Amino acid sequence: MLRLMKKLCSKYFLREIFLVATLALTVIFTSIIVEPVDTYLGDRAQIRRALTLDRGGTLHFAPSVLISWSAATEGEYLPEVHETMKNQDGVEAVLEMFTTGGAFSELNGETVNFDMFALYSEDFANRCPPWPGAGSDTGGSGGRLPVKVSETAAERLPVGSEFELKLYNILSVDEETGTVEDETLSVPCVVAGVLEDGRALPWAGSSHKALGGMGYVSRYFQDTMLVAAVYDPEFFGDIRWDYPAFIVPKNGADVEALEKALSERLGGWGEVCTLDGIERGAFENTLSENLPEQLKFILLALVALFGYGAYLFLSIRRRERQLAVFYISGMTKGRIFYINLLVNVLIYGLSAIIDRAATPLVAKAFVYAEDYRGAGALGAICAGALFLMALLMSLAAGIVQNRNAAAITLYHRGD
Amino acid sequence: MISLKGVSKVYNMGKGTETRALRDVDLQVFDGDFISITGPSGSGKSTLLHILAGLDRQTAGEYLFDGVDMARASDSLRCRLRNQRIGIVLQDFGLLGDDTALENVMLPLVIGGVRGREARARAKSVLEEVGIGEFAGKKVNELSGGQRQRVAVARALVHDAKLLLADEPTGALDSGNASALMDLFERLNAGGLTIITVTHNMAVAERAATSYSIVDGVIRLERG
Repeated sequence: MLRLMKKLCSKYFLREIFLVATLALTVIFTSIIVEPVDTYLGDRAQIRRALTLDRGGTLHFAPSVLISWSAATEGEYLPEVHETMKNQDGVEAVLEMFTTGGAFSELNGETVNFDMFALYSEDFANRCPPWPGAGSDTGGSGGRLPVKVSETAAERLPVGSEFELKLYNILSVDEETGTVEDETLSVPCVVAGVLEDGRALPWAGSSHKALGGMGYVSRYFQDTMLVAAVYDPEFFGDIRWDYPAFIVPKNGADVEALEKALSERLGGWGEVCTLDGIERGAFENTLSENLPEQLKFILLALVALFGYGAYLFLSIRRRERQLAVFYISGMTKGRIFYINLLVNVLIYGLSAIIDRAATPLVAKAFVYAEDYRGAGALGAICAGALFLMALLMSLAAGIVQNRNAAAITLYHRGD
Repeated sequence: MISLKGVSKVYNMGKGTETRALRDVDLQVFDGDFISITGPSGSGKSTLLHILAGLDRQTAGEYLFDGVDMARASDSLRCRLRNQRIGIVLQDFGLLGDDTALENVMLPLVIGGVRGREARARAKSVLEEVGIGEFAGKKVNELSGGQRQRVAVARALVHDAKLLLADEPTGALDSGNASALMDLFERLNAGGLTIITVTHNMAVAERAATSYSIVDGVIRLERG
């Protein structure tokens, strides 16, 4: 059996493994290049899951980079931004949330939130709950607070249990002495629910939509999250709500006209856009940034696949001939099937192993090439070389295969 | 050795493209016979040869090879007979072009489970018997048409086959090589080998002791 397998494939084995492995690498790297589209689709799916608001009818206000920067560094707050939104004709509600990266919180001595802190207004939580039904009957009315906790802490705190969250808001850090000035707030809460694993949170972020991504209207966390209902509405009474917000128009309001009016009035501070508009803008940005490269790779992968397909066609015909010779020489169809199966398993198995080993190396080469803006050129060279090789092999195989037939034809013609 | 009674073969039976390749073929072949079957293209000669070789089964009738009902025999048994008792020579040689003549001739022995060294010795001996021992190490693609056909004959006989089936064996050869191949066939037949060859070359057919013709699937004794 082994001797026959060796006979069947030894002449072409290395060549076929090399071709399959190279082709697989081309396809893998094409898929990597195409990844921004994949990321966009993933982001969009997350947003649609997290934001239960009407995408065509809800507006998002994204402050300009300048206003966000002033608020973050100088604590400058412009109440007229929100007043303008709230007082605009046709606006039913402005959904606000407070976010800061400069806080960490503690629960029973355990640091639970460090790199995020978000508080959803009561109205926000009711219209677009961070967790379906969170806090509907827990009594808390001071907003909803997702708390990143360990799994054991989540087990200790079932829905309805009360706890006190300590919030350390870092006000400033002395660069010379390293002294941190912060304020400590104790926030009495009740657990309103546990966030589904892998669920994105609605997030009124402060990035500008021109940046292209959609992460600022939802945020994805892979941690265990409790949704806490804050008891005391007075406690956060003096919180300065962030500028970004979702604007819910009144029933029957002309959303397009409202978007235009708000854009004019808030134009100096930021941009207003529907959620659908944000999705479209993000997609357009993804395409304009990546499309030329993606098209290049997709075309090259298609060319490589075509070249390999031609080679495979002749290879299968050659293999058919080999197997036909085996059959007339007395090998059973069962043995032929198993030998063929084993040979193919070996070819594709070894190719997969080679790919696994070679992917990091090729990735390094691409990253290195990317530094010099040459990833596209490298991809083109790889796919082109593969195509050329497959083409030459196809031609060679075709010539050898047809030589006998040509000779027979000539003999019959008596030439 | 061979007994065919009322053998018919129909392709695409019951469909619009139904084709009757063989009609009620009766044929008796005895040990040591040298038979030629002639007929135009599409007359059913190759179909008959495929059935005789156990590569295909008849649609109706009975085919006995050394008492074995080939229509009912398992694939495994028919393969064993083809491997050890029936040798096949094809018009386009049916060889592995990238392999040497020796490797090609060894193939049935390897399939039959004969050990490498013994297989090599036997293959070499048969190559010498058919007159191309000196080309044993050459790749088939590097050999002439006549030499290739001799390699095919050597491969067919390497297992001491009792029956040699040749499908247009001289179709790819010039007249000199065709004549030399028929000389070889006559010599092998004189040694006791049963040979059935299908051809549309009358010069080749005349070298056989018995000659049949086949037209539209109907076989008729012409000579012998």
